[in-house]
This record gives sequence, C-alpha cells and structure tokens, in this order.
Amino acid sequence: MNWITVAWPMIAGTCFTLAALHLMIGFKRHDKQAHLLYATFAAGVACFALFELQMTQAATVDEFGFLQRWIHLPAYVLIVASIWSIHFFFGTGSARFAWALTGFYALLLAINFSTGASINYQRIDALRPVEVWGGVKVPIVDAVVNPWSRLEALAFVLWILFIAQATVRLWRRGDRDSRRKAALVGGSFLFLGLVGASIAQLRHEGIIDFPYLRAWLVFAGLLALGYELSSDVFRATELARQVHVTEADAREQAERLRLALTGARLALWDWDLQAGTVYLSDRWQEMVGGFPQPIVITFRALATLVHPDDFPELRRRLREVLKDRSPEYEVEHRVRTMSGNWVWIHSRGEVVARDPNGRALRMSGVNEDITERKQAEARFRQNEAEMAQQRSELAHLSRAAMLGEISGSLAHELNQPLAAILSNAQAAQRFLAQDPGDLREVRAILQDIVDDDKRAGEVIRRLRALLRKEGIEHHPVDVNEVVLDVLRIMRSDLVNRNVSVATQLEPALPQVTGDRVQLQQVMLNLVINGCDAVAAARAQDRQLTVRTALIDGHIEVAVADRGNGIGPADLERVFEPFVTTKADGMGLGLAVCRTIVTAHAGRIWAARNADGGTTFRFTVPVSRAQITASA
Amino acid sequence: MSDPKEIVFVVDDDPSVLKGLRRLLAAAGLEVAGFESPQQFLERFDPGAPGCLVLDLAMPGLNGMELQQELAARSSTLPIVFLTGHGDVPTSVQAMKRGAADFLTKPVDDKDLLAAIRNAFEKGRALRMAQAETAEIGRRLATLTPREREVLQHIVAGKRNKQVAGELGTVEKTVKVHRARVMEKMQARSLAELVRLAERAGIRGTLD
Repeated sequence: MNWITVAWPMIAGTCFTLAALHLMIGFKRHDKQAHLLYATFAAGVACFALFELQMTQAATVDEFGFLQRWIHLPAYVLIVASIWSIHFFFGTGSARFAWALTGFYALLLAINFSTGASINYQRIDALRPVEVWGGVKVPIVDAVVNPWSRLEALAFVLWILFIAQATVRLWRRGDRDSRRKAALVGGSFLFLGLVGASIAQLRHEGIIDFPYLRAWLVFAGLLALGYELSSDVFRATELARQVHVTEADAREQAERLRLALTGARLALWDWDLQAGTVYLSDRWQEMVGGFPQPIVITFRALATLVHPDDFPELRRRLREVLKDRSPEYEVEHRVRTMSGNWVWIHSRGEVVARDPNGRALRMSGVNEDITERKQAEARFRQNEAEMAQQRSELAHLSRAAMLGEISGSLAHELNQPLAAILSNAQAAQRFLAQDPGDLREVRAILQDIVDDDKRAGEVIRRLRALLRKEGIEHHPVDVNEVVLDVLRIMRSDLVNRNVSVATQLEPALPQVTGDRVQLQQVMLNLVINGCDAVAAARAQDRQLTVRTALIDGHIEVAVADRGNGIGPADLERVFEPFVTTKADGMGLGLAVCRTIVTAHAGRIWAARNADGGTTFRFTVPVSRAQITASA
Repeated sequence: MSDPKEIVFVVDDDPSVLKGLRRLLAAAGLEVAGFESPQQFLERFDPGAPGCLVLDLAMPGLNGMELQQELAARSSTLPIVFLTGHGDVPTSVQAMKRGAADFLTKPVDDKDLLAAIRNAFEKGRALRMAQAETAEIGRRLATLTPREREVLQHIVAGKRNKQVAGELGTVEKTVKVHRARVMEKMQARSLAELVRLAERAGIRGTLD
C-alpha cells in the first residue's frame, strides 16, 4: 500500500460516481449533451486512472507495454470527451475544429495500435523503478521513442489551441457567468494541460525522472468542469423553482382577476383586428340574456347589436383610439338583448398591440352593465326637472304677490305717461281749433306723445316680464342693469314711501349667467324689505344704499337700510319659509330669494350694520365665459 | 278775468306730465308757470300773486300735502287743485279739509281740469276780495279813538244808547255823538252794516 494505490482507486471511484450521476442528470434534463459528455469524460478519466494504477504496479516490460498501449484508449475517450464537453458547455468552440481534432486523435489511436510498442515508444527495453514523492517506487521505462509521437505532441498543441479559442471567445461575451466559466474551466484546462506538457517536456529532455502519472491532472480538470456543470444544475433548479412560484403567482393573479371581473360584473372583451373577431367573456352572455359562456363573435355581428343612435359616437371614439389620437376608449351605449330590450353598456378599453407602422392589431377592455345607473339618472333628472318646475312656480307666485304689494305705485308709474299723453293730445286739439295752419307745435306734441307712449309700453313690458310664468332661462345678465331696472319699477313706490335710494354701482362689471327676472325678483324683494324696515324711521334715516362689487369671481349686491335692524337670532331665520317680521307678510319672499340665489350657485345672507340697520347681500358667480374671455 | 293777470302754477316732478299740462293750459289761453319740485316753487313763490296751484300729490322730498301745509303756514290764499295718480279717499278728504279747491285723478280730462281751475280762480278772487275788505275795515277801525271803539263794541252787542251811557258812566248825548262819529269813520250807512263790518273785523260785542 502506498498513496498511489490509495489515491488512484479513489480518483477512479469518484470519476465513476460522477459519470453515473451525470448520466442520470443527462437523461432527465434538456441540456443532456453536456452531461452525457461529462459522464463519458469522467468514465474516461476513471479508466485512465485505473490503467495508470496498473502501470505503477507492472512487473514486467511486457505487462507495462501492454498497459502503455491500451491506456491510449481511455486517453482518447477522455480527450475527445473534453473537447466536446467544452464545445457544448461553453457553446463557443468551433465545431469544425472539434471534429478535426476528434479525427486527428482517432488517427493517432490507429497509429498507436499499429506501430512500435505504442505511439510513444518504438520499443521498451527495460523497467526501472524510481522513487517518487512519499518514498513510493514507481517503474519508468528505458525505451526508444516512436517518431510518430511528434504527431501526438502536435495534437496536444492543437487541443490547447482549441481550448484557448473557446475560452477566449467565452470570456469576450463579457457577462459575469461567462467570465467565471471561462476563468475556472478554460483556465484550469489550459493550466493543467500546460503543466502536463511541461512535465512531459522535462522528462523528455532527461531533466527529471518522473513516472507517467497524469490521472491527477485530468481529474483536476474534470472536477473544475464538474463544479461549473453542477452550478448550472443548481442555478437551473433555482430558476425552475422561481418559475414555478411565478407561475403560481400568475395563476393566482388570473384567478383574482376573474374574481374581480365577476365581482364587478364586468365582461372582458378582446378584439383581434386582423381576424376581425371579438372574444367576449361569459359575463357578456349574461348581460345580453344568454347562457353564460365565453364566445367569439365577429366585430360586424357585434356592431349590429349596438343601438343605432349610439353607434356613430361609438365609432368616432373607436377611431380616435385606433388612430392613437386618444389613449383610452370609453363610451356608453345601448345593446340589444336576446329578448329585444336595450341594456346600457359602459365600455372601456385600449389598444394592446400595434404593428411597427402603428396600426392597431389588438384591443381589449371591459364592458359593464350600467342600465340601473342610467335608469336612476333618468329618474333623478326627472325629479330635478319637477323640482325646478316647482321652484319656478313658487318664485312666480311670490313675485306676483310682491307686485301686488307695489301695484299702486306701478299703476302710478303707468299713469304718468298716460296723463301726459292725454294733456298733450287735448292741447293739440285746442291748438288746431285755434290755428289749423300752425303745425309746428302740434308736431312737437305728437313727438312727446310718441315718447310717452313708449315709456308706458316700457313699464308694461317690465311688468309683464316680472309676471312671466315661463321656465327659468339662463342668459348673460348685467347685474347693474338688474339693479337699475328694479329701482325704475320701484320709483313711484319709493316716492310714496318717501324713501330715497343711493346707488354705488361698480362700473363695467362682468356679466353673470342667470335668469334676469328671478334676479330682479331677489333685488325687488330686498328693496321692498328695505323700505319696510325704514318705514317707521325718521325722515333722514328713510334711506337705502344699494352697492354692487366684484369679489372673488362673484358679483355681490348689497342692500343696506338704516332701520331698526333684525335681532342676531333672526338673521338666519328670516330666510326660512313662513318666518316674517311684517304684519301682513306671508314670509315667503326671502325663502324664495334664497332658493333663487342658490339655484344661481350664489349665496344670500343678512348682517347687522355697525351704525344700525341691516344689510342684505347676495352673490352670483361671474359666468365662466366671462372669466375665460378676460383671462 | 280781472287784473292783474291770474297765473296757473303747475308743480309736477314728472317733466313730461308738466310739459303736457303747461301746453294744455296755454292752449286754453291761461298764463302758466311750471315747477318741477315743490322746493323750486317755494323759492319763486309770491303770496300776493293771483291764480291757482295745480299740484301733483306724490313727489319726492316735499310731497303735495306737505306743500299745502307749508303754504298755509305762510298764510297764502292760493287755491290748490290736487292731481293724483290714484285718488285714495282718506288723502283727498284730508286735502279738502285743509282747503283744497279740488282733487282730480290723472289722467285728467281738459274740461275737468279747466273747470277746476276756473273754480279755483273764482275762489281765489273771492278770497282776495274778502281779504281786501277785511283790510279796509281794519284800516277804518284804526281811525277810531279808544272811546269810540268801546262805544262800537257796545253798539255791536245790540245795546241802546242809554244803556251804553250807563255802562260808560256818561250821558246819552255824548254816546250819540260817539256813535255818529263811529258810523262816519266806518262808513256804515246803517246799524246793520256797522254790525256786519265789525263782525268781519272780528270784533265781538261787549255784553256785560
């Protein structure tokens, strides 16, 4: 027993184990070539080691010669296996080079068995034991060198070149994995090869006496390659595990999506524009009244189900998305069900694939049944319309009541021009009776009659506008005009009540959008209330101040009186219906005012003045067109 | 109509109504002066001017009724014809009580207006005449001596000369002389006329 008889069988055993292992792995994996080649490589190394072990124990020249010739067989196996292992494992070796080397080594093998004692020796003269490391004696030969052995040296150089080329190419790929492989496997192959070559050369030159022991070199190369190969297996296994996890995730996500779609009652659609077909998930069938199952339908057939009134809009939106003018397709349309009813569908989607020219290839999205929502909206709109109608009627009634309050002075307002007309007309009659030829005065009189008649007409027009019972109309309105109009209507009433009105109107106010009559009604209400508030006041306090101003995008109108004022507790209550401080009031005026102002997106409120009396204010937002126009 | 020329003063805050009224009255041959506010009228007002006032009831600042009171305070005799858009009864009654000549509603017919104005002129004239008479009587009374004035008061009370003499502590003959002087100074042709003049002058007889 010496270390060689211990180590070499162990090398062989390990190699056989590796060979068996990779044989098994190789049959189970898709990269089987690398593993099968590796198994062959390992088996070759194992046999090679066993041959070497036998050679160290050869007693006779014949025995040694026999072994020395036949060791070339496992040597051939392992060298060819090493070439193809590198070729497949690196993926960078030249296949032609590999085939050429395989052929070349086959040639060498043929030479080995047909000339001299082997390709190395012409003949072996004697065995000479030499002591190697650890005091072990191993036989070496005294022999005549076979001239063909030069070819073997050449083959070895070519092998080195092949390995070097494959290694350099792999290194140049530049990624971490490739470089590590190149350094570890290629590097060790080259290093070990060069070590082996150096030992052979030194022995050949007679510098050292060293037996023919190379199993450890090839074993080391085998281990280096094996290490990398199993790293690949581990990595692949890890990757497979991750893939498995990802697949499980994907399945879970798909399941979640399905649940979400079911929960949200959404139907999935997927339109293949090239084929012209649309895939619709089972929920779609449920929506249009069929057995729930996914279907594939042509786009044309699907389009015929869409309500003709909705189709143009749908087509327009679709076109925008397909031409990439809009990122998302979203439209609400009706679809005919199996039973011939219409259901409302809210459809959303986007283009998910385009060809290199930007033409849409695939679109997908979801459909939602929004029929109930649409019905609710319709009911809501109807309620709104009814409420608006009621508001409008209430406003009208309140307006009529208010005009009743000031009807006396309105009659006076109409009486004035009528009185002037009568006097003028009768004056004209007299002039004509006295001097029919003098028409100058009569002409002037007629002009005045025309003017007064127009004035009377204007009074009636204003009255009629206020008593109009039409729906609310929203137009651009000049708030200052509203204020002045109301003061004109109220003129006689103010005179009768002996109330003076001072105006501070901000000039050139932007217009608001609103109903002129309703805004006049609010203003009329505030002025009449103001008059009532100062009715009992001293003469110098029988005064109202009307101001308009632009504040924060709103027109604010303020009507300030110098009356007794409203108690702090009543400042808000006066806007409630049927709350009044007047003996003969219904208590609806300010409630209606609040309704009107709120409908105009404004606010109305009352505040006590520091110097006595009350100020009522209301705001109306400046119309949007005005804001953009001034911006 | 008599001199000086009677003038119709028209006060109406509505310029077109004022203009129409002025035209109508001018066409009817009347002298017209128009004012757009009571204040303007008061600034130019001559208490002695004959004529009448056509006054709009409802005006800002000083209204028709207030102007009437103001004129009364200045002891004007100018008769007032009120014009109003809506003649409510309480206001017209109050105006008439305070001596308004008439109360018309707008639009007013020319005949009604001219008739009212004529009546007002009439009334104005009567007032002026009465005023003039009272002034004349006053002037005559001023010529009486205190004793003669005492005698006048007793005579107006219907006492006889003898009674008067007794009251005054004198003789009947002296009373007769005084009485003749009073009759002469007062330019009374009879006892009845003397009593009437005394009444107009606001002299009451002394009974006790």
